[in-house]
Amino acid sequence: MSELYLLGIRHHGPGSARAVERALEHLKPDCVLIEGPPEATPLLSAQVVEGLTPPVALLAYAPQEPGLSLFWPYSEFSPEWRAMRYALSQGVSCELIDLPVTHTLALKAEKRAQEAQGEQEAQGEQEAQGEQEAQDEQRHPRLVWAQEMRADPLGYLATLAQEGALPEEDERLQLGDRWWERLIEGRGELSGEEALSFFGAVEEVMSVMRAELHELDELTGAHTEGEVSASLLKERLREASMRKLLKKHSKGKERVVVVCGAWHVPALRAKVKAGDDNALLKGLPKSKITCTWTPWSERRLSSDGYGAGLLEPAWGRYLWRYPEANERAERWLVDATRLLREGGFHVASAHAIEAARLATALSALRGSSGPELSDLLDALTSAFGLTEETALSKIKTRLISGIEVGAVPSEHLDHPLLRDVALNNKRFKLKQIEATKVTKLDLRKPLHQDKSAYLHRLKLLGLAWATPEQRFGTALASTAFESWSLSWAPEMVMRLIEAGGYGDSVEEASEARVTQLAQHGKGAYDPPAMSPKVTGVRGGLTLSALSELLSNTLKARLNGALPALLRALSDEAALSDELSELLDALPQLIWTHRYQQSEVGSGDVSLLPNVISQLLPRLFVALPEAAIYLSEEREQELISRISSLHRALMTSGDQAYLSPHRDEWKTCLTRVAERDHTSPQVSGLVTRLLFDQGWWGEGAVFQRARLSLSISDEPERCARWLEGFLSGGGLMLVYHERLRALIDRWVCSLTSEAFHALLPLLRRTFSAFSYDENRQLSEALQREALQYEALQYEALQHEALQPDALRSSEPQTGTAHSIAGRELSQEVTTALWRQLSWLGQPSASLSAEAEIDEAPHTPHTSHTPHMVFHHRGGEP
Amino acid sequence: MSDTHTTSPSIKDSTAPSSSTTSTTTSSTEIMRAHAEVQFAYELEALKEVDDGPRPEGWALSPQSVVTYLMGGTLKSGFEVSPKYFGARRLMEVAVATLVTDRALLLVGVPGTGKSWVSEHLAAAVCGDSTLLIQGTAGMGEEAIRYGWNYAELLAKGPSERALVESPLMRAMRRGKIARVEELTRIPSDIQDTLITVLSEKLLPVAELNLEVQARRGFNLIATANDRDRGVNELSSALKRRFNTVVLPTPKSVEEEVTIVRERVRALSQPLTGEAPPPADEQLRKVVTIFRELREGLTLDGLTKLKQPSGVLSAAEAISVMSQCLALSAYFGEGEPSPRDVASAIKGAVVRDQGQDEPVWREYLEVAMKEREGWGSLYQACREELS
Repeated sequence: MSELYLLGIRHHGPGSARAVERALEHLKPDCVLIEGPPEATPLLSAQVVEGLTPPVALLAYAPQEPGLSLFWPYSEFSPEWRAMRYALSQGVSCELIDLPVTHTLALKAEKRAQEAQGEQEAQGEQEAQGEQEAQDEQRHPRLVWAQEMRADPLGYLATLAQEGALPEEDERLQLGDRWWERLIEGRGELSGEEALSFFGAVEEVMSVMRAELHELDELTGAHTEGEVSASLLKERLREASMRKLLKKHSKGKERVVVVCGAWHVPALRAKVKAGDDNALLKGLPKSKITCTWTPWSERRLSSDGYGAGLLEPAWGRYLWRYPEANERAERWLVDATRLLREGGFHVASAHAIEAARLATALSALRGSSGPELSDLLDALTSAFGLTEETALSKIKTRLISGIEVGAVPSEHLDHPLLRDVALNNKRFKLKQIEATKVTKLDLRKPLHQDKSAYLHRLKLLGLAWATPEQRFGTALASTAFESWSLSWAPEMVMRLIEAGGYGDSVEEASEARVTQLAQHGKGAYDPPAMSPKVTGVRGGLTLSALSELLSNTLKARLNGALPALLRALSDEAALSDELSELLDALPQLIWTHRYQQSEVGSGDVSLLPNVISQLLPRLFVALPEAAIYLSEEREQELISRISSLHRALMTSGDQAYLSPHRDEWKTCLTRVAERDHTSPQVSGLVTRLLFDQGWWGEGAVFQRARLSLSISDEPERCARWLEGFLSGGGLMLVYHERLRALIDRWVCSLTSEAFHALLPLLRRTFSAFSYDENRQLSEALQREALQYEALQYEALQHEALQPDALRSSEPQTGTAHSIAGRELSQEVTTALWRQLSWLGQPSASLSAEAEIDEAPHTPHTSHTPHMVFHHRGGEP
Repeated sequence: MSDTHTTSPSIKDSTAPSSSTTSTTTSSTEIMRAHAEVQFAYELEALKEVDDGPRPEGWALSPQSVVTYLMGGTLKSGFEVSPKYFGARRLMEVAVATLVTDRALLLVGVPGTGKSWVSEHLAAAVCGDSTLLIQGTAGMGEEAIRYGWNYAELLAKGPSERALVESPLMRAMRRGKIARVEELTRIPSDIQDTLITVLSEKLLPVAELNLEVQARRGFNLIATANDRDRGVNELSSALKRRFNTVVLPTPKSVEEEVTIVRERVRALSQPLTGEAPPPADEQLRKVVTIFRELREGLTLDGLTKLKQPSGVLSAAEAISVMSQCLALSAYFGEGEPSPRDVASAIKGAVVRDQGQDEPVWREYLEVAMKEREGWGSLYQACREELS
């Protein structure tokens, strides 16, 4: 019979880790058993574990069932990790013991299937549950207590221990964790004997507690087989399996040490017949599984609910590295000081010294052996006089929760796709870090081309690691530059493992996924959330989704997927006539085609022009009909779509296949512009496009504008037309005096109320102009104003005040009206100027000039635009 | 080692005559408000009896006992210590630990969070003397902090130590006691900075006599500062660096605030009205509720937004309102404060600026108070008070 030592630990407990290490050094066992997935034992070789940088995790997954997986994370200070390192460095046998993952995952899959099936019955069950709860309340009070104890054994222990010795309010931790941390994890260095007696005490306490619990269960009848809860059953299975494996591995060994959660220690010590355990474990479902190491992160360590969770991984690191409390406090405070200094706080070493003294005094006052985290935080706040949360929050994320990420060398990743990703990352010098990093690529360089293709492939695999940054509001424009923002999260490993179903390399897998997406609209290894919400006419991807996929596939250089994709595209195109789909898809297709012909393109897309030529006429027929009676929201959508299509059609270079379509586009736009019921903003935009393209002359545009700005029309419609019309910039107003006058006249015709109502709209329109446009426009307006001033002065001298006749090309409409109009216009000009005024003050010469000019006309200036210009000279 | 050896007798010297230094000439039954160390002398005595923790030099109690004195608790001897501060124990621990490290302590908070109260009790418990007090005012000069002169003596005999008039700060330094500065932020900035030398070098030079006063062990300074009121002078960063800061928050819950107000009102009204009845709980709760709601600009249920009055409505205001009510009812009423007494006292506290605050108060009555069950009589009284 071999000697057996059971070391009951808390997962991720730095104090437990230290005690485990000392105990192992003292005992020098020839067999170390660790709680963990038994199937992963082959991964524990000295050579592999040496190369890992914690935090890392053991990952077990079912290759056939995407999304079904389990993690066992280890930090530098996890007792299991320390035990592994010890056993491997000493060359003694090291095994993981627990319920085999093949059963755990199969049970999980069964449960999942049951849940999916049982959704209809859910309601009935809920009712039953309600009854159950009602019953619970009437049950023996000791049972409720037992449940509490089972839920939080440490909390129960702490309540029994004198909680008065604990810091009174500390929201970070639950009572039990706090108690355990102070008693065990925060402990300093200890000897081997001390470690052993400590584990003896842990075992004793846990045995008493479990015995008590068992007694309670029996008393209340909760232990009868039928009523055993799922979690309790799982605990039994796990412990039976642990016992079984313990028996198996300890054969022929002299001294066996088991490192497991403190809760399981009594169960492993218990004398249970092997037959009973075997009976319990018989007939459990199985599923095929694979295990691998994977990088983990401190952030993930603190957020997942793994067993007795770890709230402060970074603080745990300090606890582990510096066993002596005062040294730990000093290190931590120095790091905090540096961090604050980086953040722009003026703090000196003197502050850190004072904080350290205060922390020591506080810990003495609170009766602990050395400064704890709460003492340090209090001391930091008080000695540094930090009253803002912001300063503390940075310290909390960096020095308490932590942001470090572990690493696993590619050769030890037991998953082909993960390995391929690691190799690629090495080649492209990409790091899987959590902080967001931006990478800029110049696609004329071969390495950058490959890197871009790689990132696009990952994106096509559905991995959210790298996202292209939008440039100039559109990703369509052909450009030789790309900018990616990368932000890794450990859970992305999950997606890669799922995607491993598509293939063994990133290229192969992404190609396979694109092909499947093109053919069926969804991939076989995607979770339901990733399948598209809208389906096209064939039941697969919509036209716009396909064209986006095509564009990305080409950028990812997955030429193998092109035939299937182009076929799907042309099939969908033949059937689809949804206008918004056409409008979304076409610019993308046109750009894609053009992009492939440029120097950075590579794929064969000779089929595309056919598809495009097939789609465009359908669009041209549908557009005029679709542009009428739109809500403002829809109108905005249509405008951006028309603009991008226009840009794609007209600026995508000399494409033979496009030239007939450009003429059709002109006809189509003309029809849109001329229809009565076209939504005003669309109409304005189209008029502008026709004008800019030179398809309409100034005369035609003027006529259209006069019609659209008719005084009899609703002012709001006019303003929106104007917004559409001016959306291409204000330069045309500078050079086309007639249009400027026309708009001026329309503005003058507005009543005061209407003007105020329209002001936000107008402001939006004018604020889109560039600086130069604004400057030139204001100069043009000023010239006119001075002209007007001179004329008015003349007119006054002749005692015939009819200014409107002099400035407008329109016939007179009555003096009274036009004077009122003039005043309003001044108000408008002021308003326009105000929104232009963000450009800064007009040049000094301008206002000086205005001032000189003002002098002779002082009595009349209040009604002249001249005054306005002078006034604005003083505006900030 | 030699250090402690030479100084230990001097501690005894400085701690023993602590009560004689407070030059109270009136007997304790006549005075309006006794000092903390007099009023709670029996508690301090009881603490001292069971206190076996190590005491820093110059301290009357161990730091643990000081915290117990402030937070209350049952001693080993079964003696019940009343709580002085209602709030987080953490804060008191930081404050006491600060004094242990001989860093000066700065208590920051809005009025009524108990800054002065804590400072007085801290001084009483740490050195048995809370009287070495400098009250900060806008017009004070350097001599209030450093030292002044007895001009008759000065003119007759020229500068000498006899002509020197010590400030409380200088006295505290000489005796190794805690000096208190109230309302530090009310003191003009250049005068505040006089404290810098004292805090960093622990000495106070008297240039005229070419001598200096060096602080004895046990000396420290507790300052209180208000960061919300009008007319405060920001602390210079040089001075701020020499303090550990403890921010005293406004009470977290209604319950906590009710307790604070009740305890303080009871303590205040005892000498005034003799066997005063404790303030009626229900009214007290109402007053606290009104003050909290107006302070936060939100009803307690979090459903209605309220306008906030111009003044600071702290727990201190609630305490004075309740004391006023009690006094009114004790002398003029039927023993229990009537809604009208409460209404007039609240109005006085809330409406500081007629034009600005009256509409706020009026709105509060209509929006928050009118519909509340059981508040009818108070609402009526408040309405009458306004019209």
